[in-house]
Amino acid sequence: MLISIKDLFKANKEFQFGFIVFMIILVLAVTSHFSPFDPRSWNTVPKDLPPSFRHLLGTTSTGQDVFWILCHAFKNSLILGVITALISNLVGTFVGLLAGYKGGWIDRVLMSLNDTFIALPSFPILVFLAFALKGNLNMLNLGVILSFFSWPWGGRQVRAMILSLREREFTFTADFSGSSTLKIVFAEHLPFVLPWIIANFINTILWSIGMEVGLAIFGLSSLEIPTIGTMIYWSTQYQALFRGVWWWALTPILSSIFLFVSLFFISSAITEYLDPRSRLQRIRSRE
Amino acid sequence: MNGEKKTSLLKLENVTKIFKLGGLFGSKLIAVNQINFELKGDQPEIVSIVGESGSGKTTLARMILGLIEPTHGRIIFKGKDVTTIKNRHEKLIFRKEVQPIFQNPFEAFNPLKKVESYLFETAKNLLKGSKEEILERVERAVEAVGMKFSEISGRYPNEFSGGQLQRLAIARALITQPSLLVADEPVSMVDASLRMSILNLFKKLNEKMRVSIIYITHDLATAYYMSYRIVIMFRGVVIEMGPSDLVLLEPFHPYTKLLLESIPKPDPEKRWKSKIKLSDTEIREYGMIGCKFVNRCPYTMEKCRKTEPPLFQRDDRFVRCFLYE
Amino acid sequence: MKKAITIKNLRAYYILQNSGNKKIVRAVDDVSLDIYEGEILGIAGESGCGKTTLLKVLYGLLNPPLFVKSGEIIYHDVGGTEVDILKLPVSEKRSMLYWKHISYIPQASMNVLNPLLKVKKQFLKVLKTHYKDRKKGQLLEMAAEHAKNLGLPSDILDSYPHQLSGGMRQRVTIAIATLFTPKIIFADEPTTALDVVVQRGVMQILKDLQSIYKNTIVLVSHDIAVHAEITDRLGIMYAGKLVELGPTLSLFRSPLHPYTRFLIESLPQIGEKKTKMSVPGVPPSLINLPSGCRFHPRCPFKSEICSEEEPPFVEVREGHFVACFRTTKEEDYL
Repeated sequence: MLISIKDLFKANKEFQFGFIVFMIILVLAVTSHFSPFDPRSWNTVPKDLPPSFRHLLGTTSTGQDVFWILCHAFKNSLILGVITALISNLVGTFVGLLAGYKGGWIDRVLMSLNDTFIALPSFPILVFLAFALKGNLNMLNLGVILSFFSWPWGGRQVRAMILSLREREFTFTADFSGSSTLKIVFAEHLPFVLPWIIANFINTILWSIGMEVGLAIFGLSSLEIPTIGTMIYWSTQYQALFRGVWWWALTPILSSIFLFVSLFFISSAITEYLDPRSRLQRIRSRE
Repeated sequence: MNGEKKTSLLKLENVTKIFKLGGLFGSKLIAVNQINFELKGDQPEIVSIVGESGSGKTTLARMILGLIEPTHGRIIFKGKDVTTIKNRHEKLIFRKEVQPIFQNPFEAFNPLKKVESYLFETAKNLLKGSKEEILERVERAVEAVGMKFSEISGRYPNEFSGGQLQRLAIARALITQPSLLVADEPVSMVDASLRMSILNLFKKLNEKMRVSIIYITHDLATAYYMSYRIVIMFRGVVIEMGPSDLVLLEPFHPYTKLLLESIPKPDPEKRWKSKIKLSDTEIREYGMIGCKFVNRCPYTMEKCRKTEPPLFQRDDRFVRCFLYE
Repeated sequence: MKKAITIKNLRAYYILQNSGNKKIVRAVDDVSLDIYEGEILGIAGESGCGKTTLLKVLYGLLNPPLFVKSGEIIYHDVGGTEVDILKLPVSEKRSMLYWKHISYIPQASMNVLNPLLKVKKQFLKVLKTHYKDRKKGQLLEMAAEHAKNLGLPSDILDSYPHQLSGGMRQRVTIAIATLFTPKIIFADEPTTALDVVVQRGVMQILKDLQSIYKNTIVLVSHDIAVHAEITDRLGIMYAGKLVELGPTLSLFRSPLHPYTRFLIESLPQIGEKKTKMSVPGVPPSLINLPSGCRFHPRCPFKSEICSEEEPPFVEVREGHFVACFRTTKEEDYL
């Protein structure tokens, strides 16, 4: 079950790329801690300066250093993504496991709940909530709100996996070996479910960052906090591209592309590595 | 009365299983219908339950193992009603005594786990004991099936052939020295050329380890080879029962005769001369009121269509057919 | 007898690649065989011996990781000419051979039918592809007649697949696969996993096909009793090689290869209570093959030469071939 990062690194070019890029992004996110400028204040530096030694990615029309804003944007977006992914994965997996193993009325109740949430139109509600909470939105509460919409997908998926795993013969073998239900869940079934959980985790991160970008572009995110979305918002507001301040417009767009692609590569490399079928092939080739 | 029950290892009383189906075919499927059957406890025996697909034999096996609950009737193992087992403690005791061998050796073990893990689990959960004791039990069980622990240690299921996996499944089942093995088509997915070694193993275990075996199969020839008593099922009911020699060499029921005639003989000089008629729609046969074999039986009488015949007894043989009233 | 197919020195391997490791599975390793018109030829062997691969290659199903390393498969008399199926592109395989000249019945094919269409519609679909300008009524008549010839009850045409039993579906699939009365039928384990009475029905239908349409059938099965029942000639494969080949009667009366002897003698029969033995040992891995004769590790009669050299495939009696040093040596003395 353990992921050998070295193994992955050697085998998979996409993972190499994704891993390196993501590490860079992580480093930048952490570096934001050392930012000489307060990300919320404007006019801390001269406006509209192109990239130079002093300002690696130039400055914005609001008087902020693009590089340092980017570091904060990475940090905030990642925090948001992780919060959403953690909550929604925990809830979704738990619901799916419970419904899958218990069955009966518990299953029916949980799945009705699950499906109700799936049916909710996420974007309009998010827009409404964003309006309502305008001033008080931060990464934490936005993360919680977003997880309301993303957890049900996990519920259905995990339940489906559990239902089929329960019928497989090795589950019976484990039962007749005297294993308790809990043991069966963790020792027999989890190895099959884990690749999905990891992929889902990373995909939820991507989804929630994407949602935030979407909200921000409409001005519905927390606009003083630098995130990738708000960078795009502000640069659009100031018509950066038209006015020739291209470094301010392009940075968030290119950064988001790199972030998404790197996470995607990591996610698919990990799932392919953990996928029972490819693990079997690896075991076989040891012969 | 209690004393009488204790002498039988396994007793099935009017065991019935009805499945509810949705939609098209009607509401109920009676998979197993009022089976009565007893395994005596004094001598460990091998009994074959023979039937084609749809006969209910696998459903019956699952009920004996406690995986499904019967809709009606009781299953009594060593004096205790299996369906009343609720708590974990009682369940583990039952697991020590009754173990399964399933049909598909490739599915019996989790492909992502080492095979030996199940053997150790069984020993740890059902037997307890020190590390050395557990290792010894596992080693002995593996030797009992003709393999060496050093051969299997650290290896995954896909490194073994079907025959070897089935042996390991048997080894696992033997660790607690159970009184009863329920083997559901244990060799039908093993190559024909390797089957005999596994069947011979079952026979040896029955003799040496004194374990009773319920051998479930659709193959009459191996049933004859394995057991002295045979039970033939058709569409959920027992249609013939008795000593294998008599049942298979001088069959009573027309269905048994059909089964026997349909076995291809490994002798090109003894090929089939006649043709047979197949059932076209199984579902129709399930829903019939009288004897379910009516559409294919060459001896059908009026009363066969109206009522299902009861089991008639002739010495130590039973047959469900009006021809033997 | 006229030849239908000639296989010459066929080598078909699976090339498995996984994160840098390359393994070659020599599934069919230098097999040569003639298949005659109008015969039912059986190919027997344990799982992993290469018989299914042989069948697939014969039919031209060459999808990676399966590759043909060398050899020829010549189909005689395909519209007047000879054709090497290994050299034909897929489109020509379809137009020249598939359905009309040759047909393939895969394992457990009872689930191949479309559950949403009545059986007669599935017959019609297939018939229309070849008989484009005939009327629906005519096509239905053709379907009904074909079904009747094969012993299928008339009401199955109006049924949906789920209303039929598994065995009946298998036979319907066979009927559809043989609608254009192909000259050669390849059947891969057509009776495995079926009930014994249903098995008999399937074997019956194959025999009926052959007697009515006089086609050639190549039947792959690990069950020797099935071969005894319906084949004219039988080939035994072991670890990618043909080890014995000959008329079924001759093979059963006096099996020459020790492996064949085991295969036949290990089957239990009703009325016999004596102990039966399996083939000892385990089938070899097709990646790490034993040296010399591939059966030698399991053979009770092996001698020194068996582990050093591969025995040649020689004709020992009329039409009866075997690859075994011991048997061919014995025959020399006779």
